[in-house]
Amino acid sequence: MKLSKIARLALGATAALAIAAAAFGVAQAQQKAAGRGIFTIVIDGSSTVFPISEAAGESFQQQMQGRVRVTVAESGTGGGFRKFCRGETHVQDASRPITSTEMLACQNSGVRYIEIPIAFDALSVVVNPSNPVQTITIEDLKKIWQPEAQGRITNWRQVNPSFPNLPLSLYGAGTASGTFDYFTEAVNGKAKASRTDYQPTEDDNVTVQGVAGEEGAMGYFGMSYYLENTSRVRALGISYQGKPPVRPSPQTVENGTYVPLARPIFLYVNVAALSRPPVAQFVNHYLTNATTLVRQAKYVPLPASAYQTGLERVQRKSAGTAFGGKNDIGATITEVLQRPLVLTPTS
Amino acid sequence: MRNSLLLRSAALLALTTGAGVSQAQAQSAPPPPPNFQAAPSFRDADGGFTFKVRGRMMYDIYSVDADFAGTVADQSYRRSGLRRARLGVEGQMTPKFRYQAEATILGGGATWEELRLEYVGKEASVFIGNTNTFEPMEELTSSRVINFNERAKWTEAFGTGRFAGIGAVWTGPNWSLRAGVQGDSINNAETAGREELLQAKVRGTWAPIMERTPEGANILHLGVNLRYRDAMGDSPSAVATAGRQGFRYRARPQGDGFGDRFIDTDYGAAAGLPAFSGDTDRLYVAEVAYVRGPILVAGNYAYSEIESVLGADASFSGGNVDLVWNLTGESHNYRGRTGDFTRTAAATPITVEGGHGLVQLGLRYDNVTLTDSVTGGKVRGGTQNAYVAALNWYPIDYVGFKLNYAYNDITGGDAGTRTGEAQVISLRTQFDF
Repeated sequence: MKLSKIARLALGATAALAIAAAAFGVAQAQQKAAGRGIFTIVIDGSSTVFPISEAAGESFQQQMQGRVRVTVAESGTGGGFRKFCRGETHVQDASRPITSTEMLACQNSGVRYIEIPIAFDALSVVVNPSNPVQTITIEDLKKIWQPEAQGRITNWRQVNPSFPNLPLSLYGAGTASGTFDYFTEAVNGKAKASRTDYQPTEDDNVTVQGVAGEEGAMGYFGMSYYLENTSRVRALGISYQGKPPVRPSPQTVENGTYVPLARPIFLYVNVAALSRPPVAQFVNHYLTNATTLVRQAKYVPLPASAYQTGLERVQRKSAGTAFGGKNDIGATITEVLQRPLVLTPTS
Repeated sequence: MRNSLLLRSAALLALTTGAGVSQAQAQSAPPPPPNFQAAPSFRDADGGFTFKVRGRMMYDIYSVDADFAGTVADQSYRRSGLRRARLGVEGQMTPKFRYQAEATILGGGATWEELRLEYVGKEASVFIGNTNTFEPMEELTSSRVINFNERAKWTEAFGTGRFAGIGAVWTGPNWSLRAGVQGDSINNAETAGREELLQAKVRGTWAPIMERTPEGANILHLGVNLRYRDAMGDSPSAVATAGRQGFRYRARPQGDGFGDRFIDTDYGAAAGLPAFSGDTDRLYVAEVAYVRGPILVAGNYAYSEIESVLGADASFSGGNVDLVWNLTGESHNYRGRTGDFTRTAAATPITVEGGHGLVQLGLRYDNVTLTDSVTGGKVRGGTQNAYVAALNWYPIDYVGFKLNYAYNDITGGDAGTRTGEAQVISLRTQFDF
């Protein structure tokens, strides 16, 4: 093979660039190798589930004596699922079941998942402690939060003549949040249907501060934030379908009277990630210690048999969701755990 | 091109109708703000109507050096020019009807590339228009994201591309089945006495392994393609005036800057009648690709059986093997529903905060064999073996700089008289939206 001068020069330049690129690749590999030995488990998703996963991550890191790192972010259930279904996270925290759109996104990128109910939560509707309102019906909550209320329902008295004459200011979950999806479906009858003239946030502490600072403010978030801030905000008793009002508490969630705002919350685990021993060990650690971790985070643990079912699903790598892409307000955990798992939306 | 004219009218009518639907829908709800993905993308409040302008520009600087032992085929030059410049639109009129229309604008003229209407059914999608939907993966993968500046040359030799017709696609998360019937390209001029060719195509793909985790993807792709073509026998008068009958089998070296094709069955053509051209042919292509983390290994084997215009039957073959390493660690982005690769997003695109984009190193072996013994002689189209090295840098997802070196070893071209080598170095600058 004879090479002309131009070709030799060009070939030399190409080879030099290829060598530079290879060196760049080696440098990258070395950079990664510097952190090798410390496998990082990546978790993202619901801010509601965040306190449990954070506690699980901390205890697992201690158990592994620094050989594994666990990072837990709280992009919201929707934002977390976008990353999870692109294969960017190992574990997804979710305060509602996976939707049909998210199921298709996971399917299209080859992400199979195990659905694990991890705890009960009670969405708590909170007001300023000085507000005289003690209880509220779901119908009145709908008057406040439905899209038609936007710009029109601005005073408590417009909702119910027995309520005080106070300007109404609202705090709630951001639209990427599973809490937002669940609350809007349970109260307004359709997920994501909500007035938008309220203060949305993924940080529930913002809601606590807002409600604590305004006499006429109302907000909603998971029960753990309420139980941590009982001196600053007060939870309303919720009356549903003419029944007596019930306040959120571990007891009312366990005995099934806090409806329709009690809900299971979930972990979703990437099946392929379970081939990495640290991920499998972490999920086992999470489920084995779930009762303690959930109580520490001020949520309500599921029955022990539910965690056993979760462990079996992990061992068998039983992929899919019991919800088929739709939420199911009011379903019991026993019923949910007995349903067949599907990876394709059922409708 | 009778049916092509019909297709053109149908597609334009559909696009016009779609605009009307969109206007009606736009009145019912305020539209959300546009979403920016290199170009603004619009949708109505329900997401039923979508619209996006699309396009691509690729500009090549290249050096060509062909050495055929002092014959007239010797050449050495450096040039630069536009390889592709396209502008078009895509979107959906309703969730059931989608469209894409893109045209090449080069040299003062315009030709259609993809021009298709898609009906999204419950079980299958139906495509009508000028499309490459039914082609093998090497042809189907967009020029915006191919790992080498040119596609493997067997695609050119065996005439894959965009053609007008109709077909259907069935898909699952990790499989696809597509079948279509097509004629000529929608851009072909109408010529008296020239018949519309007929093509029937089937493609099936399956990814038995398809996983993705933060540590990278693990994907195995398998695919098969079958194509039957019939040139439908142009009339003698058309052959006399247009000088073509049947299918040609020929390819340039790696690098489209070459005007010459050194392997070609059209050697020594008598007036209006090539030495060897296909009357009907069958093309079989097997595809395999494996992704493990940042590494992609892919290969295609193509085999064509030809019944020639002159009666002698021959078979030609081609294929390529690729090794591509994303030095920056990203996994290649595979689509199980279409059985092809799409854009790999840079893990750290260059932004005001830093980042270095996606850097790729690729190696390819590419073969086209157009020589075969036939009854009463031998078809001497030649054999081309190309060895290609690529270094690609995508600072952001929609901008790329791609440096390729290709060494082409050519034997037995031009009726067995042309043997030599050709080297091509090309630097491509591209962006798309």
